[in-house]
Amino acid sequence: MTPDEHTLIDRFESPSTRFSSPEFTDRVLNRVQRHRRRRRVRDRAVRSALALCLLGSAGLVARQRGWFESPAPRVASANAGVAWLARTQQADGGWDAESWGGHPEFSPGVSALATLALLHAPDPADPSAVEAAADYLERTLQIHTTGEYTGPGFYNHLLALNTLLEIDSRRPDTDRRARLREALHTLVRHQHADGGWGYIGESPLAYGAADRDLSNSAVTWWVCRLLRRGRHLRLPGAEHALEQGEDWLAQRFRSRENIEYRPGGSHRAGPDDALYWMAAEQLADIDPSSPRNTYIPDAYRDVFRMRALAGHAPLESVYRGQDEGGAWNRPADRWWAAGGKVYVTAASVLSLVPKGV
Amino acid sequence: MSESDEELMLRLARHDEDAALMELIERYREILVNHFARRGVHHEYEDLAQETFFRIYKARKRYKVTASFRTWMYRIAHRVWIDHLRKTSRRTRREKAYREEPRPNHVTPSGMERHDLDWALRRLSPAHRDVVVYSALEQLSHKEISVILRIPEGTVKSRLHHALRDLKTLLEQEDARHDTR
Repeated sequence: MTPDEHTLIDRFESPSTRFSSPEFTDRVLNRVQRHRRRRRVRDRAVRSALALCLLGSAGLVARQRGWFESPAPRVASANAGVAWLARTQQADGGWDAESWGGHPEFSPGVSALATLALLHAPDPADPSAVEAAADYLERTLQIHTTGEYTGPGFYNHLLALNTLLEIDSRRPDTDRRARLREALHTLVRHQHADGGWGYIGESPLAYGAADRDLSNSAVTWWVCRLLRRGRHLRLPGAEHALEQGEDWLAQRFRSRENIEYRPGGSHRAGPDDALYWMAAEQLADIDPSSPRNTYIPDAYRDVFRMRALAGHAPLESVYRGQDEGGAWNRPADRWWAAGGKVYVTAASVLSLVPKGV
Repeated sequence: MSESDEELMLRLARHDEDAALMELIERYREILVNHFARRGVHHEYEDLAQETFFRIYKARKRYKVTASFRTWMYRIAHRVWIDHLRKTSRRTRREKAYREEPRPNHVTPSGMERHDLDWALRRLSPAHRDVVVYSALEQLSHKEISVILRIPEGTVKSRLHHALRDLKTLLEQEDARHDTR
């Protein structure tokens, strides 16, 4: 303020001074104390509510992921499926795909899946049934490993080899192991220069000759898996082949949006395809908390999907279609025409007990 | 050496110490009581001063040392004052009643008539009265007033200028009326 303004103010009488009451401070402090008490009560209530919310959310997540789910329905369902497979095993130890709606060429592959289901059954299967199935698969292997795969489809061979390696890890047999070494050695020899593998020999999937010369993601994935599983056989050159094969796969699976069966192929795998979940296992970037919906019934795909999601995928779609006899009767399945009821049942059992494949 | 207001406020914010709050109350209770009394509060000025201290306590965590405690306190007091006006909604009636009040003049022993500042302030508009109270009575700088009222410093100067001009006119009118008696 200027001196003139001060002079102006000075012409007024100073306002009378008021004094506060002696209880002034106590009143403020009392209000503060009441405020603190209310805060404490409120904080406790908020903490309790938060804890309840967290518990509730954890419960919902646990329920969604099946953490509290009783294993009884899974076990019962899988055991019923395995019992049906045991009842339908043929005298030669295998399963006939054609008798149950599939194609005769796929009997070895279907038998390999059924044997794997017996091996991973919650209730141990009859050892003699497993041994008979192993003998059957070994005979099909014999056909494939002599010469250049002129027998039924190459995919059958891969599935049979996988199951036999699983049996070998459980019950080593010298003669069988020699044949397994021979079979794996043949695979190593057929590795393409780019590091991948393609269909070898006659293919029931009717791929043309040009396709056979190209490396294929699904075939390479399987061969790499077999070489990893057969490491205990210490096959010369297998490690190098495996390394090259995995490098090739890593390039093919370079992103989840670009998973191709073969270089330049027209079909790219999505969540509806087995290859997508095979890649997911290798890429390890599928979020288990958001299982993607699948729309095409595909029991074979579901086996890999359950593996990739570590059991977090909803099981409703797997249970669907199981009949009173324990088998899965689902003609709408993508591969029903090839594998029929035996394939769907074996694959469904493997989805319910997803550790083996 | 006694602690500064800012140090006391920090003690209150960090350790929730009653002693720090009590010391601040002791320092500013009379100042705030008179502040509200000068702003036209007749009976509740003590309640408003207590409310201001309570709000200071509640807002203790938001206090930053960058602001002077006094300015920060007056900002809270200003909010208390505005809330009080809104709550009571008697402002207009009170303003009217004040204007109808008889002019309480006093004659000093020297014979010079002096004018009651409370009465004169009530004849100013609220915006003008605020700046006169803060500037002439609370001795705050223009910058501090601009922070408290959240108006530009230039607006503070202009309001103060107009308020003092109104007071001067008021005095001249009163002097003229006195001379004609």
